[in-house]
Amino acid sequence: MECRDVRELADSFLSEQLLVETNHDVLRHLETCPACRRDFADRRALREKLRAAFVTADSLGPRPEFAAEMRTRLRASNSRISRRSLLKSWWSLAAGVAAAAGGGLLVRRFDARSTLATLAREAASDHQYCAVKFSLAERPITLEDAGKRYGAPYAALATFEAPAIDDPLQLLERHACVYQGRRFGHLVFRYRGALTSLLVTDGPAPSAPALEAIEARAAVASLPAGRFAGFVVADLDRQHVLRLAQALAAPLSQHLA
Amino acid sequence: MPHIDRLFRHAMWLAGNRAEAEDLVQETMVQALQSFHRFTLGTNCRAWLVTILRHVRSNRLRKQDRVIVDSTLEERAANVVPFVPPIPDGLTDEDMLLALREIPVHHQEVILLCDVEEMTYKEIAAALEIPMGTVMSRLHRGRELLRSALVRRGTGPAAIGQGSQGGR
Repeated sequence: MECRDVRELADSFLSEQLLVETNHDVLRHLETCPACRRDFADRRALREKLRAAFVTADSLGPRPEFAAEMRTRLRASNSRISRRSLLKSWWSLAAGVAAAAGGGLLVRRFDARSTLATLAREAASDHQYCAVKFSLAERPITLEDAGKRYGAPYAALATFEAPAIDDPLQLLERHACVYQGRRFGHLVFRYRGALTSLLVTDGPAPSAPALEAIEARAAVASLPAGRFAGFVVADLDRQHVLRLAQALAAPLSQHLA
Repeated sequence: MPHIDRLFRHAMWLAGNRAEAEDLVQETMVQALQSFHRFTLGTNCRAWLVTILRHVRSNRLRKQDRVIVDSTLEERAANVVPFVPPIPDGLTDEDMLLALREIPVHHQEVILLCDVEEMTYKEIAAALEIPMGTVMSRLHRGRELLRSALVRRGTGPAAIGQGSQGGR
């Protein structure tokens, strides 16, 4: 890569929007080119200065009492929202509790099952495009970063240690990635000679590890990951994948609890 | 309410006055509460709120029949960014914000969403309802314009030498 190519990619590089391979190419060039390193450092400093100016400027900040006033107003406006829309609003947080209480348990189970199958397909695709092909549209970010932006479970995955099992499980990579708009906490292992993914995403936690009957190149087993949905995906015999999911389920749930 | 401060700053930047900014934030939060079922847990909550804020503001402008600046004209003007010398040291936060105000609005907004709000290109494209390629080109030109504006602020009008060497 020449300086000109690298400078053209500077904006996307600094915004962490490059594909993994392109990112590596840029990094390789920067290692050997002081001029581009200086240019990138200037650009990064400019971004940081702008961000700092924006988030600290007194002229842009709210009045000290604004947040408290807003809370009071929201409570008042919340009570005006109709019962129906309120139930709808909290549906994703209540995760089906209302439906179960209203006698919709079977419907809820069906929904959870169908959601899990959809998630399993997305997990299989993420494994394929992230772990195997390295060609996601968005560059993965660290689990620590994801923890700061999207919540504690991602940060917890950064410190998850897989238990010792029958065959060695070698950790190759861990990050947070996005496949078609869905974000996953992703740990990539080598297991029985195959690239193997442990993926955790926001979705209904299955009650126990189980093989997912979906059409995919790799075998997929779902497992509970605390209150989230977890998946083991690998191009291995289905029983090996299930056994790995069974071995990971309890320690993963405890770690994410 | 962890996002209120940043959301307010964004509203204040767009609206330019405190009362309107407070109204915008309040309406944004009410709409967010009403449509919380549409928010995907695990995605960027601040980006979601900023997107609602921008829709709320656009709707208000539309109701008031306020003219939205022609972006193509701005982009044509912004294309003439030839040479950007290094940014001088010693620029204050105020210099940074004033320089940002100097560049066309459509470039300001992508810079704010990307560099300040740390939204991804995809999130910015969705918030502004523009293609991702446009996000990238506005960002690229916007940053060059911002650097030029900062150079002018840091070195004074006499030092302005750029702008006459044609577009790229």
